[in-house]
Amino acid sequence: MKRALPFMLSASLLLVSLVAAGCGDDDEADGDGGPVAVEVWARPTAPGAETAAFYFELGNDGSAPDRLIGAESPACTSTMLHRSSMADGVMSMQPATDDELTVAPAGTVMFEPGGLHVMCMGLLDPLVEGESVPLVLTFETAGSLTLSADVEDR
Amino acid sequence: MATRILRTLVPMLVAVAAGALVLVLVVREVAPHSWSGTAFATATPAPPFTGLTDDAGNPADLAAQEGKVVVVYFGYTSCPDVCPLTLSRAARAIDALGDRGDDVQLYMVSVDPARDTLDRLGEYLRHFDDRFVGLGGDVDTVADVAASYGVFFEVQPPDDTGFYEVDHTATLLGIDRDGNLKVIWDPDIEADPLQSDLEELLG
Repeated sequence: MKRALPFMLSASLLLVSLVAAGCGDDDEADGDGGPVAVEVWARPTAPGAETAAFYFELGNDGSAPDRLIGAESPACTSTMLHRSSMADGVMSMQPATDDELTVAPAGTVMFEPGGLHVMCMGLLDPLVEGESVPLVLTFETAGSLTLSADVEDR
Repeated sequence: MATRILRTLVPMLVAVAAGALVLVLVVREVAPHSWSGTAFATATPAPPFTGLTDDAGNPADLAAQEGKVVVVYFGYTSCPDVCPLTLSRAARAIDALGDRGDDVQLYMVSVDPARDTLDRLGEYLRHFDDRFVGLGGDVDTVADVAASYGVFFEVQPPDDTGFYEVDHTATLLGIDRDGNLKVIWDPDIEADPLQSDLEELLG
């Protein structure tokens, strides 16, 4: 019994470290060294609306910068990588610049309401709260990243 | 010795505490509301909606809304990012007012008469709140009303697919129960501060 105690201790330590290692692997499962996107969402749209916008947070688990060059969704006829900006209360939109779309290693780029967004034009069906919509982001180096956007009112 | 100090100290502390309490109550009573929007210093009558039609097809009549708080927004239904953000937050703020929200009337004037039919405006606005109402008119009429509110809009050149955007002043304009333009909110105002300002307007 006395000899069993150290054994059990080391066995449980081993177990703990295995579990910890397992968690570590999970964290990196999305990032095989390239861009990642989390918090992917879109606002529900009104019946008959022709446009929508996708939002997300871009990260980069790789060691080199990468640039978002395009987006596609079966919900949209076409998309544009856009930025909204306000000057003296006037809202306008411009194509996002290469700089804005580049995510540095360990950096983040936020696509959020009133700022950068994927503009969806020719919306084929209304986006319904609670559903999700596929969104494919294409990067200059890493290629395509297939995501699912949650439709919710934030 | 200790008792004597206590005898002086305790009434003093009580007096200070009572004074502080009175001060807090007075300040709370007379302190002006701290607006999250930009409030007008003087009463400015809100310009009328001359020539505009509501989404039910009736002539728009701002004067008929006197007694209600009115929020006016200039936007368009093909606006993908900012208009839905602003309208969604406005809907949340008004919803949070409970029954008092029935005394707030939000109007969106379309700055895109070519695409926004009255039906489409109605459908779009009711998606956010079934009390919201759309107002439409021909481009000159809308331009006149917009100018009277200090609102700018400009239709942008279409892209290859024919889609175009409309740059526009995207502030929310708050009119008090007496029909005076009272406060202007930025398009990215959060629901909570907007609700608080609306409560002040409701009185």
